[in-house]
Amino acid sequence: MTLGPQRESGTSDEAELVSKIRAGDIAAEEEFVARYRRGILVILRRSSEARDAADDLCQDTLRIAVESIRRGELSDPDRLSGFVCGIARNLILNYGRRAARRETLADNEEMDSLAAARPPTQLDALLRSEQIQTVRKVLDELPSDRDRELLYRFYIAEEEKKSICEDLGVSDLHFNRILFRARERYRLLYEKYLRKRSEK
Amino acid sequence: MDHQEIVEQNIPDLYLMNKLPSEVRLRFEEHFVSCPECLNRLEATESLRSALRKDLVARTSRPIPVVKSRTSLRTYAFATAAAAILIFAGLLATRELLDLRNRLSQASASLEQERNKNAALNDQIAATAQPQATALVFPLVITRGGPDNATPPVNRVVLPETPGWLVLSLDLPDTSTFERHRAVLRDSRGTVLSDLSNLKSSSRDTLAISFLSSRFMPGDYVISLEGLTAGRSMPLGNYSFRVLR
Repeated sequence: MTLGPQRESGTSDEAELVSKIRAGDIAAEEEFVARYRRGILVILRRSSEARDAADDLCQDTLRIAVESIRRGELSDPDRLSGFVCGIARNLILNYGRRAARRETLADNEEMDSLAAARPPTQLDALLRSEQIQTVRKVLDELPSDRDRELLYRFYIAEEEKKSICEDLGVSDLHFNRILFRARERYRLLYEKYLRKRSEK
Repeated sequence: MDHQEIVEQNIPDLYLMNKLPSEVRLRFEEHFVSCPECLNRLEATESLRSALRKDLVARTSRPIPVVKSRTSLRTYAFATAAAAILIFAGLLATRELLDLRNRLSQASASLEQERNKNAALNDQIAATAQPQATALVFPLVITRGGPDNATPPVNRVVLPETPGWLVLSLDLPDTSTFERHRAVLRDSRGTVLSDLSNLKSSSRDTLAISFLSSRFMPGDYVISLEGLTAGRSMPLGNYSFRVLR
């Protein structure tokens, strides 16, 4: 799989942001945090080693990045995103190593931490049930059984797109369209539910 | 990295399924870390996948979906006919009576077999009144032996009337901590019908595998499941099941 080149507009944005932070611009630091926080969290939460500590490690990533930029340690400002990702990955590795050492803790400590884990609340159950109802609504709204099958086979059974398309006789374009519609419809319905809940 | 390629190649979806080669994964991370559009897509996709998984688990925790009891009606009609034959046969004292009795005893044996199958099915059919909305989901438990074993498999899969999609939800052993699995589907003669690698469990205790119903004919099958880790595999168990129409 090959991917295209980096966006030119994105790289110049990054360089500008870096130069402002180096100049001590606090608003630029805030913009940096606002721009990168979400993405760093996605990376951290995808890692099996550091998922539980994602929020803390995200703060550490942002702090280390800002401090490094201030000190002028980022040699190529156009590589800001790569630099941030690199910090996050290093923190994941370090956290994983520390966690491996912690596994030698005595059994009773482990049991204590397990006991401290929060059991599912009534709200959790409600949200779960609403998620299920929402996704069923989305599935019901799909125009054909074939589209529903496609969604399950791709997202749950994780079958290859090519074989699903061949089996069901759908084009690449149609495949992507079904995923897009289902995803957007689900997002709209679920956000609507969450808004209603917060208004109550 | 441009958005057209990201969308066309479903890169966010593949990223969430851990299916991207590491080089592409790193490049995509460096792209989306500051790209609101890709982050929106990642979050929406993850949320939808999570809901689909929960829906699947919720469905598998219910009794097996309703199957219209056409078989039962057939059986009762057959029973009535058999009874009529029995009465008629009682009135006959000719040689035909013996022939009829022979045929009747064969029919009765078939009827008994049908009844046994129906009893097992009716237990599963239970009180679920809702028609199934999407796919038929069948929970399978680990069994001993293969499809050639003399004992009929406890797991049953009922084919839909019209070709559709089946989800086999494999109950994972308590000891399984593997994130990836390999499942090999064989028929009663041991012929490999499907060999699926790198399957990811939909929850800690189940692994869902989808098949087109047209892949199955009535008969016995077995899925051999292995856990995969660091290039090694470990057998986790066999799931024998009988496919019924």
